[in-house]
Amino acid sequence: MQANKRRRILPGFGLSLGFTVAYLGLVVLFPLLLVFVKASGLGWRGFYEALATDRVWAACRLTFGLSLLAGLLNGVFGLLIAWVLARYQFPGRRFLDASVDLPFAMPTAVAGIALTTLYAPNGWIGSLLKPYGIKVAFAPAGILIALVFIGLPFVVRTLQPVLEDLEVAQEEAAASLGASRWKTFQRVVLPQLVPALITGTTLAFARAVGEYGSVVFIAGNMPGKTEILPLLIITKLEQYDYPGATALASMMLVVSFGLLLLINYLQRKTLVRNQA
Amino acid sequence: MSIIVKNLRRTFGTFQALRGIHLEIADTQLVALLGPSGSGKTTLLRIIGGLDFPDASHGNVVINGEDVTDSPAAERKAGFVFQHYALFNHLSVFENVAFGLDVRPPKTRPSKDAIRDRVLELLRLVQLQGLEQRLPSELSGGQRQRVALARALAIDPKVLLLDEPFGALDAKVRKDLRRWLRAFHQEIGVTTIFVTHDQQEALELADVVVVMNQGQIEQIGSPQQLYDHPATPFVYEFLGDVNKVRKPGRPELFYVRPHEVSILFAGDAKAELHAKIEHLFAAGPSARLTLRIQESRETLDADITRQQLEEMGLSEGDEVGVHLNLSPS
Repeated sequence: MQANKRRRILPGFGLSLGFTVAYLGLVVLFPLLLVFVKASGLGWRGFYEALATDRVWAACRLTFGLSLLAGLLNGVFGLLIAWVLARYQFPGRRFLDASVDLPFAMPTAVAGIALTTLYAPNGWIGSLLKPYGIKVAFAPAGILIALVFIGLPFVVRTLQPVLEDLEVAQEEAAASLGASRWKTFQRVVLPQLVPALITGTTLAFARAVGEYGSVVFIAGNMPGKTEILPLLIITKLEQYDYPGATALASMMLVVSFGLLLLINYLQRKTLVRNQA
Repeated sequence: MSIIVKNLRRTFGTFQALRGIHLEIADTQLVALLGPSGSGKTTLLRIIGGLDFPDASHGNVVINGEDVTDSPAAERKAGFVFQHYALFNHLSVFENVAFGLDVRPPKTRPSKDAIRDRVLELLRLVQLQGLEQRLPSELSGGQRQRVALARALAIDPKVLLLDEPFGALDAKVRKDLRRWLRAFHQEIGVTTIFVTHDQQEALELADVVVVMNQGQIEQIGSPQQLYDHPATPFVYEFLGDVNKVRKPGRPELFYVRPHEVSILFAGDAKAELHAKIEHLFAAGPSARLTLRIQESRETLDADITRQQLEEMGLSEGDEVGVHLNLSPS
């Protein structure tokens, strides 16, 4: 019997898996399950009626649409920042590197207030844009800026180690084979960054969907125009509409989880190509 | 194609990696850049390949009569094989080899079929047919090495530059590949420069060996010239085993190879020195004796035939006479 058992260098698979399942269950899954239990009190009909309003639909489009856009913007500019931080040595690099984490560390409300002060029609930047009729604070553009702000570290921090590990010799090889700089980036560097880029963008997107603190200050929160889903949930809670709030919450959970699964699947596909 | 390097200097911060290199390499030669680590040999190779550049206005690189000192790697058509191969991990063997042709601008890019034919032909040449769909991570070290070679050859390079081509391989594969590369070079006839710190490899493989030390060239010559007539003590010591000994009553150091040491009976009148056998090693075609010279207490290695060993009946602890057959140099 003993001899047949597969030997592993590090023992304890059973114990660690048991712990993982119990921990995730207790900390993540059980509370979320309760959301569904609470919402189920509505029945399918009540559930449908709680969600099928213009106000919910508008908030839904705004939240997921802007989060996706923020994720993509962070993907592009986060790549640029990670590239500079990983590739070049320059005075002040450490300072810039540390400042990337600030959106992680700050209370989001502080970010919201700071951004609002800047972009409000009487703020530093807002007052410059006002003559051109561009409104940032209290408009979707303001929400987007807040979402980009809080999502940036995810992209930078997932890409940076991958960029640092890239073999410089591969780029030199591409150059000696006659590839232009752009071709080298496009054919050699970028494909190896794609898995990390997808992860970072996904994390930034997921964070943006759930973001509340920084957005409520800059959004203006006009129902149907600049009202995000998390705010709508809070509003329902304040009106003691617990079933309505949980219905919204369950819908958000299902959509977010579905999107994360889809992105994970896409990423798995690119990873297989890279490492098989 | 010929390569000429003129008065080349390269400094990294305060470190002088190359201090005035002059080198002329004739068409179709197989040349070894040999030296210890830090001697500047890889830097020289990278500068020839356009991956590094000399200090401003300190040196020229001329390939086939054309001054390419300032042209970037992409324009030099120098096939470069990296020490750790630098294969594109995310591309198949086929795509790796095709890379240099694929990235050409549409005007000069061969057709898909032409690229396919060329790649398959190269893979046949390096004996990797049938592996074109594999990823680099699915290959052995020796196979990766040959993919890197095929990839470099795909662009019809004017010169082939190999950085420590066998450095990362185990002894058996090294030997096989060494023999294979020699035959391969004869077949394709492209001027080839390879970097190595292994003197055996350089002597066995190259037409011309360039011995480098501390950013300078110590000697250039055929393997035999270098072995028989080393120009400097450094070359003497770097190529093959060598003893440094003094004769009684003479101040200068003598360089003598183990096979140039004659072992005599202790009472022999021709003996210049007297020594005791400290260690005897006879597992090979010849026997290696480690001797302690009585006059100076220095150690001396000597190679003698197994036959002589038996005829003289030598064993550890015996006292013998020594004669040095110094080659005139």
